[in-house]
Amino acid sequence: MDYKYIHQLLERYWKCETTIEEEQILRTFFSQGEVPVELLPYRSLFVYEKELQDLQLGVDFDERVMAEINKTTVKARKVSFASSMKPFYKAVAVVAVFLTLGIAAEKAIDKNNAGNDYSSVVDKAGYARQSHIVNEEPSSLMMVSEGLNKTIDGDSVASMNVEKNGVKE
Amino acid sequence: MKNEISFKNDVLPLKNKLYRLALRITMDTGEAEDVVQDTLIRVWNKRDEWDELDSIEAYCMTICKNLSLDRHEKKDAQNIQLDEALHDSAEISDNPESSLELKDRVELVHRLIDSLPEKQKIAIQLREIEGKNYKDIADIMGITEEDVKVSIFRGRQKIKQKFLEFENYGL
Repeated sequence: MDYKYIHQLLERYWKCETTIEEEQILRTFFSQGEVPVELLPYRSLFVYEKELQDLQLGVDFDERVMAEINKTTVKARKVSFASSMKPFYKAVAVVAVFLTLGIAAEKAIDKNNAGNDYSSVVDKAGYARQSHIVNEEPSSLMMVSEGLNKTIDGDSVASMNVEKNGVKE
Repeated sequence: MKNEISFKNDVLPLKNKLYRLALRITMDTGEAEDVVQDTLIRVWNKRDEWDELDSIEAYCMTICKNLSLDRHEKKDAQNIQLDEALHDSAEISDNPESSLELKDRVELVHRLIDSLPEKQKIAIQLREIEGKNYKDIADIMGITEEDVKVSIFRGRQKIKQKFLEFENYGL
């Protein structure tokens, strides 16, 4: 068998010129039984690599990791207890908002009702008073004008008397 | 459009690659297993960001590498752990061609790679064991492709040199 190709590969391997596939060829070659004497010194290197490739974790490892992961997931849920209460907080907030709005609306309605009644009372009273004033206005005005007239008349008589008296004096 | 990433189908199957990388760095089977578990949980916790990733595998490998280095810095490495892991895995002795000499040599390779500087060790691990291309290795390690090539080249040269020394003088 011609081992020239293997020799070439090995030379290129030391110089880091081999591809991954060529390196695998070397490992496969050295793992099989027939290895020429001149290549035997390097056999252990490739056998070692191949042996190490088969090194694996135990079968129970997957279960342990999955259990740990589930634990961390559950833990994460526990940590997010506060966030799980969010719907409750939201509901409370909504209720609080509605209560506040309700109370505010009720007060506003009460106020409106009270205001309307008052204004209606004021209006009615005002209207009544106004109408009373309007009704009473002519008579009072008449009284004022009469008074004024009397005063004017009285003043003119008095002034006339003064003039007379003055003339006399 | 990107396919939706599934933890069970896309992330969890990376566990063995992550384990081998963690083991290469921590050199401790227990530590490596913990690192992989931490890595997977960390990746899971970042699931909201998966859509933004170019490669979930490179992302996992990067986290795994960083966690491994953190742990490795905190704890003194014990090479014997990786030896045990290697022996507990697919046994070399299962191969009828294998021998005590081959076993010794495989352990020598293991020690050689472990003795390399951190950068060379990780680059070699990702190339030789995981079959990653230079670009992926550069992404995982956070260095340039040129740096990756240089690291792998130097690592291989050291291994070759040690092999020749072993052949000529024995170790």
